[in-house]
Amino acid sequence: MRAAMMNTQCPLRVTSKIIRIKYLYRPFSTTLPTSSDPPPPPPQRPPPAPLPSNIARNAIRDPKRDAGIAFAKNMMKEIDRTRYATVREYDAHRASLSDAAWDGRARDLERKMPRTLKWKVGDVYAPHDLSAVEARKWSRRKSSERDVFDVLGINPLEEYKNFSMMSEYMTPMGRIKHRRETGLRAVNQRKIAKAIRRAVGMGLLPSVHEHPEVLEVKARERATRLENGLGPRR
Amino acid sequence: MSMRRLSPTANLLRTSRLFSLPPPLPRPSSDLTASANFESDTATLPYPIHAAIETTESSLGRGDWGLKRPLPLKSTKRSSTPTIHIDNVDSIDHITDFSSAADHVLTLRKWQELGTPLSMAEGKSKKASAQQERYPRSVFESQHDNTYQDYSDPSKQRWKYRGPWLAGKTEGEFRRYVEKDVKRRRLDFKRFLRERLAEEKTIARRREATESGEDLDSPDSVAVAVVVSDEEVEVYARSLRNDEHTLHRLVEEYLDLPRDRGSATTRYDKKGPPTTHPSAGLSYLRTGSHTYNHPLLGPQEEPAPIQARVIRPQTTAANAKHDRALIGVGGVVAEDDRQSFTKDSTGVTGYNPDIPGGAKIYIRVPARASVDSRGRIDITTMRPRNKVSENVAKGYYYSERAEPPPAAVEGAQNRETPTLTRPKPGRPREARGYGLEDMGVAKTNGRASPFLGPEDEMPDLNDHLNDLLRHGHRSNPKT
Repeated sequence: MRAAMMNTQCPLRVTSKIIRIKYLYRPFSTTLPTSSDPPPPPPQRPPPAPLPSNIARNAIRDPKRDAGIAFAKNMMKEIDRTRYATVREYDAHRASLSDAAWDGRARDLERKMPRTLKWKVGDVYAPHDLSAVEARKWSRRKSSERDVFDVLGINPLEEYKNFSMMSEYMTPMGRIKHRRETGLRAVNQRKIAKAIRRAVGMGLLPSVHEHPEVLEVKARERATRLENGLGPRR
Repeated sequence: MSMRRLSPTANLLRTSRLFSLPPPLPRPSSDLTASANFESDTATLPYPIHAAIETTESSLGRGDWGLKRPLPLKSTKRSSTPTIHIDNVDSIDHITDFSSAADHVLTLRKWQELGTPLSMAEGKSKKASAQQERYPRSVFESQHDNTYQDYSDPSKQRWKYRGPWLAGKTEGEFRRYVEKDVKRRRLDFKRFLRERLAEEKTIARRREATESGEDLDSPDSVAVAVVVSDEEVEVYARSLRNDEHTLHRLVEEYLDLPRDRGSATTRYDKKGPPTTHPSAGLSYLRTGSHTYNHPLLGPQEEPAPIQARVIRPQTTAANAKHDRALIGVGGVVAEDDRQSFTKDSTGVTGYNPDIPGGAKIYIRVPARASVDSRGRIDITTMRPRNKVSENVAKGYYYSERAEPPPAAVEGAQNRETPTLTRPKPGRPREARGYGLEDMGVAKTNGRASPFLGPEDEMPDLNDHLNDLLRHGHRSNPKT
């Protein structure tokens, strides 16, 4: 109550009003309302009747005018009502089923189509591409066929200080990845292995886990994915 | 003439399939990633890399494809589309390695049925002021369809260049190109520079002569042909090092590099020149704007819409959200033009396993499609403006016929006995897409009106009950 009194002297009128209303509508009151309390707000007026639309106004003035438009509008409404009645029925039917089970079934079936996420504009498909045989192939990992270092013209030995690049060629437990995983040609595989060993030897890279900064970036990525509702990466 | 002089064996070889088969194009390269990627080696490629061959029906019966040995009948004769492509004419195991080419052959046939003309890939400008051209420009316009540079008309553009698109090369590829292709042409470039210098000098000499009033055509005038010494070429080459603009122009001309025109008018200016002719041989039509005539309803505002398969809904598993759904139009993946913010059961916003055969939507026959720099087809899709044409396509233009429930609803109700309705064979092709598939059926039942389909027949008790369950009333109370 004191706070309310103080607030009535507050130069900011708006704040005082908000606080007054707040006090007025407190669920329980231990004291009787005093004269300093503001009067209760007047009962709300009923909302004003909606202004007649142009069509309705015209219809009042001249019943013949715009009758066609009104008729068409009514007809469209009726069509919409009948058209979506079946959809509404279906949705109600689905809601009556256990929704979680339906979603689970959909998700399970979707997981069996791993290419769903990989389609790109301009892809051409034949019936075979939507078959189970193809789906199995798309779920399998394949190592890169091109040597990335050759394509980019980078010498991996010169990049030993680049821990993010080195981490790409290490497992999370700190082992150097095999050539069949990295897809490098023999020369570059030797070079990247040497660069990793060099970095570990110099103490730039941990030997039994990923670089802490890489771990941090991964954790942050995971958090944002979860925040955006994308779920964990499969 | 030369053919006759050849021996019969040589002649046979020259006209054989063996020699007429072009070498395959390089496979489209996958995305460059250091981490493992997912792909299938047997998936249909975005463009065909092998020539598809077919044979006459009588030869097909004998397995004769004009190759070294007959191909097995079991794997070639049973197909409804007996077209093959040859991976290896004669392998080390004395086997002709072949596989079906039906995927791209049918895609082409579907495209021709669509009748969509190919247009130049337009640059998508995000500025509101730059209004996109309303009408697509055909790839066969004389402005674009050129293989040589017409210097007299600078507005004419080429699509084919001998040199590579340097901006699209990675560092390693560029270095290899310089090492392998450019370095060995040093001497040739010197020769090219000498020619250029001689030309320049000749022009200068001519101008000088004209200004001093000499008669160049008279026999006693000083010879116009100028001699360029090696030292002069050396000095010229050195001077070019300080004149980047001229050097760039000369190198561009010498290596025939794709021209950098500054203002990007087509997407090819930003993403590199097309790898094929911009039509890619898909369609030779210049325009697709003609009125469609319905056999019963007369000329239509737009052609009968076509069905497109929903390839990737807007929301996929694990709640991954995409801007738009991807739809398959005649076997080519394209982006849907609509974006919805609410979930529904059509299968476009999210995967709906209740729809038998997968979700499909109606779209207008695409009016604009282009082939991008990597040879992939880019279709601009559009949903029908209203339901009228869609209903016309389904055959529901008769007012007393109830509109069918959405596919998902039907699918959910028929889940116990899923049926796959296919267009019945033997109907005229023209009838397809106009909702006239059921015409013949109605006629055989002694009904005169082509508006009445099999749905209008007297339903038996089960159908009646189903109708009541589905709609709460009988679909056609008239019958």
